[in-house]
Amino acid sequence: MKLNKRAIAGTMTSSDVMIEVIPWGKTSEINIKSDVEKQYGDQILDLINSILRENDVDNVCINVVDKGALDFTISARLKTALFRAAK
Amino acid sequence: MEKLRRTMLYVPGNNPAMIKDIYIYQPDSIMFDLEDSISLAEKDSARFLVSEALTNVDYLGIETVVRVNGLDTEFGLADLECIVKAQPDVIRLPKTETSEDISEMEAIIARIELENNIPVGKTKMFAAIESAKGVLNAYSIATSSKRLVGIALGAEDYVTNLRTNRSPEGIELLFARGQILNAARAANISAIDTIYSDIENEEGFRREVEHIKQLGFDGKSIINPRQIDIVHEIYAPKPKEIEYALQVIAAIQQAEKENSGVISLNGKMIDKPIVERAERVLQLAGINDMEQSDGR
Amino acid sequence: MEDRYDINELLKEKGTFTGIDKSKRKKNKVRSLKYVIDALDIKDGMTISFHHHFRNGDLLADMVLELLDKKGTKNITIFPSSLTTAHDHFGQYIQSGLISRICTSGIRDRLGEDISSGMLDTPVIIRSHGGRARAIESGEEKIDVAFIAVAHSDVNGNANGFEGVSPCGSLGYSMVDMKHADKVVVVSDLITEEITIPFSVPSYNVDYVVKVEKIGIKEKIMSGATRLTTNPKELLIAKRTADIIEALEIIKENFTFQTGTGGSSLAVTRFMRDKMIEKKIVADFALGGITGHIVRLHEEGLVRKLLDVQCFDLDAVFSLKNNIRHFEIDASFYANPENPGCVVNKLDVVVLSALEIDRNFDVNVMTGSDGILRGASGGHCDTAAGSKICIVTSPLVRGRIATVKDKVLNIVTPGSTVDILVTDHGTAVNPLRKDIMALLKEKKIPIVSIDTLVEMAEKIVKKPNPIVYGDKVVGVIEYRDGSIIDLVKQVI
Repeated sequence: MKLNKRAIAGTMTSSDVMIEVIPWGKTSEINIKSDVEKQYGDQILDLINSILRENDVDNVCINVVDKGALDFTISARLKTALFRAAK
Repeated sequence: MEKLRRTMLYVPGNNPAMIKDIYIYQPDSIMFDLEDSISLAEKDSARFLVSEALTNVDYLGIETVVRVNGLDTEFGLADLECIVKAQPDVIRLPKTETSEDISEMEAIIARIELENNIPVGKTKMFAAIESAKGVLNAYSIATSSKRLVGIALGAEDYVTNLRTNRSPEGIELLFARGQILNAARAANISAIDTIYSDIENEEGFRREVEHIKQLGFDGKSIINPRQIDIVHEIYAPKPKEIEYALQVIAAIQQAEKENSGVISLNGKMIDKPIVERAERVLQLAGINDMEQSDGR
Repeated sequence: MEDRYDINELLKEKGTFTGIDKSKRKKNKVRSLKYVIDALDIKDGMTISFHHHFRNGDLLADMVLELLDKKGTKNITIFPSSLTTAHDHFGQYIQSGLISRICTSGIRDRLGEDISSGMLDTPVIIRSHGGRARAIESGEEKIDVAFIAVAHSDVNGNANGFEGVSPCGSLGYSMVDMKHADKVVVVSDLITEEITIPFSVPSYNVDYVVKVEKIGIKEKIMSGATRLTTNPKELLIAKRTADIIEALEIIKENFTFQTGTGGSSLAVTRFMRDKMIEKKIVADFALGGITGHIVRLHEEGLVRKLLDVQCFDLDAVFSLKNNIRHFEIDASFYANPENPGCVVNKLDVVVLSALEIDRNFDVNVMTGSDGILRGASGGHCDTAAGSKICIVTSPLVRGRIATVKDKVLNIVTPGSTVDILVTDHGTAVNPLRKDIMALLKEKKIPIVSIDTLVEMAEKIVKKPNPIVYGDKVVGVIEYRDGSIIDLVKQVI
């Protein structure tokens, strides 16, 4: 998947997550801020990495502000952000 | 037996907090909305969210319905491409006016099923009728596809189209309700009534549910979980009706055992309509699935 | 052989009457806060107490601590009945060396984080409301000075909580302190020459009366939701709870209940009201923190008596002032386990909430899922132990945090006193209560096992990483009888 521009998806309401995708010309970086970082920070990171791999996305900066979203929501928001960035 | 559809609960497709556990309210069907409750800018995110939810959340066997955007919009096709793969039970088409609307969408669904190794025909369809033209074409819509499991009235757009508005008594909807109901019955599919949007007016809601139940509707589209109990309560058969229904079924079983052609109960002959009514009463009373009920 | 009574000795000892000058009679007990603090000579190792009737609107504790801190006082124990967000900044008094020990029921927000990070060397002692009363009455904890915030006092300390410009309602928690503390200071922003009637604090228990500009923020006494919820999830839980209460045949003439605050609890009360009207039943009393919703039931004649240890909103305050059978009770009468007549023992049913509950039905209301102090023991374990039936209500999952889990991080209320758990995903009955299980099954109330709920929750949120604890114990959770039921560890 080729990303062309910066894009955002999601909201900062409870049980949601806001994800920003910024294509850049260097190694990928993922920043996670989460209400449940201690309990789930690692799992959120793993999930994001696996979706990036699945979609063949590299050289991107991902900023995540999580308000206790379940995996399906994180996954949907990231896919939306990637979809928008690829437009 | 035909599936119970007393309550079809709307949930906006872009609201993770609601989507994640909407099943706790135990409606008969959950309808994820990608259409009117979603702003143009968020059509894509709702689509992804509903798709992920269908794939990952356990809706405990409750029927899942997705209301997609019409194929005449720029979102309709993309909705289908994304959602059919996630295998909801039913795709609901809004603003259906002709049987061609159904066949057009059916062809696309079939193509996507084929491409994704989903048995062709697995995805059911539901049509919402929301205009005078749709109401007049109700029967041809209702019989347009084997996939179609029901038709629903969408009254908000319809009354505008008629140049009137909704009244508490619903006199302006009498024709549409009668037409849609008869079309559904003739086609042997479900007939679902329109929403009641004034959440706080419990009494008005009750009156309307009693009205549409008496007309013969299978149930109602609802917009708030608080409305579920009221509908289910109104549709629940009275103890006397249940008792009679059980007697009817017992009489049939007895007659079958005795290989007797004529079935009678308390001296009265039992014919097909009586049996059908008895079965429906027991279904509404939840008698058949009592054993498996785990209370969730 | 006894000596004969020597009347001369008596005269010498007692003195003879020489006359009286009425003008030299001590005028009253009113002094400034600074004067009182100097006169009481609060120093190293002493214990001072406060109360949380003003909840988030408490101003007194900070006034006192600020003066002590300025004086350079060190190493005191503070013994509030609870701590709220009004005390968020008390970490600064720990860092200055003023506070070296805390005994409380609740601790939350920034102060909770400070304590959980290990800021205080001595662990916080966490007691229930009944446990606190027991500790004071038994002499286990000695209070040197009790500071009591009141809404109206006369110049000699006859005081109540419901008159004046800053009313807070019941003074239930302080009523224990005023009988047992060495010195009692009553503080208010309304002090009159005229005697306060009725009074909850009698002047004979009071050593000093202090006038301040503002004693508390009455609007902030509200706890949780006070408006009836429209949240469908809370309504779902409330309706299920009310259905269970009905199925268990609790709603009988003269039944008794406590329902607490928060969205679901208020709605439980509303659904119970419908059933009481339908069955023409009148309850004998409602207990606990009282809300306007309970007051309405009382005023409608559906609940004969309100027993009030603290008011949760201004409607309750107003009712305490005006309704004769809305009765102020002290914490010992409420819940002291050594008092066999304590009123929690007369409860037919209590509806409680939980931060966490586990397979054993053990309940945590003290620490969050991250192990950090953010709650209050309150009357939770007292009412659970005393009531005939204890129902805990909670959503299965909050955000991504499972409420129902394998093992709670900290136990406040032992599972052996918890009978039923009602969640949005199903209802579980403690296997110890075969009677309840049988009755609910008979009434066709759907039940699932607690293990099923634990598994459902874990399936939804997935297994979290374990909390990383330090070695230090930052809190000791006492059960109401004074035994230690759990330790709270430092969170790194």
